[in-house]
Amino acid sequence: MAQDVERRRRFERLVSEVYAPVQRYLLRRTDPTGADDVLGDVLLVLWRRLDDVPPERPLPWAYGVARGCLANHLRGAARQERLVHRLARERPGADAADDGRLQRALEALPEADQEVLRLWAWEQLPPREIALAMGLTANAVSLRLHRAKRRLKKALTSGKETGPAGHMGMRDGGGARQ
Amino acid sequence: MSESADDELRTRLGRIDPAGPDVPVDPATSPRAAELMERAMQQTSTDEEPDVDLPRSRPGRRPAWWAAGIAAVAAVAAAVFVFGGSGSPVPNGSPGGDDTTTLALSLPATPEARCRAFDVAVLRTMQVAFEGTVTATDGEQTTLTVDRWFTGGDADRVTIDVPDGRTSESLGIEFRSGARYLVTATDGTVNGCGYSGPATAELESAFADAFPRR
Repeated sequence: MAQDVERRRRFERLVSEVYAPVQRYLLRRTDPTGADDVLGDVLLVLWRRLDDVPPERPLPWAYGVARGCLANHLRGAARQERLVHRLARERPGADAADDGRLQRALEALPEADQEVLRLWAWEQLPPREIALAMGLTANAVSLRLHRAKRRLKKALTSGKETGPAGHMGMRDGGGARQ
Repeated sequence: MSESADDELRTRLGRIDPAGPDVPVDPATSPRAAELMERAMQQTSTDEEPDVDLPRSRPGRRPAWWAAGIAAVAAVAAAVFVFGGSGSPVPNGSPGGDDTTTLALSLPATPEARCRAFDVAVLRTMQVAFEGTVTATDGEQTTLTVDRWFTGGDADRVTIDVPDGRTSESLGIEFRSGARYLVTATDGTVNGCGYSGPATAELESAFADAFPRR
């Protein structure tokens, strides 16, 4: 009984730490209804796997759980693609300064590169924690992040000179994901 | 790549963040949070747990290079390991760093016998299985950066040699730079017959079934 109480307390402490950031993580990647559904799944997994949560880095681990739950939710590439386009359209004026270039350049990258960049820029994670969230090695993340930044900068620079059509050549890796 | 250029890129990406700090979210003290927490704690049957690919608790904390090498060599007798630089056990994070480890595989030298129907049970028995992104490919060799190991190794990079007179297309795989693949190998030789190929949702799902994280 005392063990149950202690476990509940640990779970409550964990949730108080990750609840808001995981919500943001989900809202960045799906619609509000989907985010709420997936959040419930994330909490369920965190409760079940409470003993697996690394105490020194609970948040990136929780992002990793959210990533897995979201993948289940978005199962089916067509659904995911529709959603990405809808989210981009629904973001009112957010990309005004870049005239949509940055968004297009980001979406032209392979999905894993996009996710590495999002976790770096939006969740503000260092490579080691991105590795934890994505189940990659830290080295693979560093390589991917370096390459993705370079590609994004190149796309933005060339976009200034050639206009939006100049980005189309970036879609070199997207074809692997059906 | 300069730090200030990185900072600028991060700032610009921050401007297209759909849920940045100015977007309100439900706090952990809300009734909704309490409801979701209570619902989670009420679940007792493991049957109801979402089937999720869980993160490892200690990514990047790989075994010392020699231990990884021994384990992988035991699993892949014909594979050749090349350790660049000093073989430091801790990734230094620098692109193209000296501690990158490479696993060398090859395509079969002779055409494969008839393929049997794809079976996850067979996939599960593969000595080597990983997901990787092609960073370079020509007629003689394809190089992939490993995104994830399922079994049989811990290298950062895998090279696949193409024997004379063979092409990856003859295996039903067309390696394209920048694309992601799921690859299996036995005795240092990449398997075709649907056991290696582009990382489609179907193949991802089969690999997840064959090699559960836990």
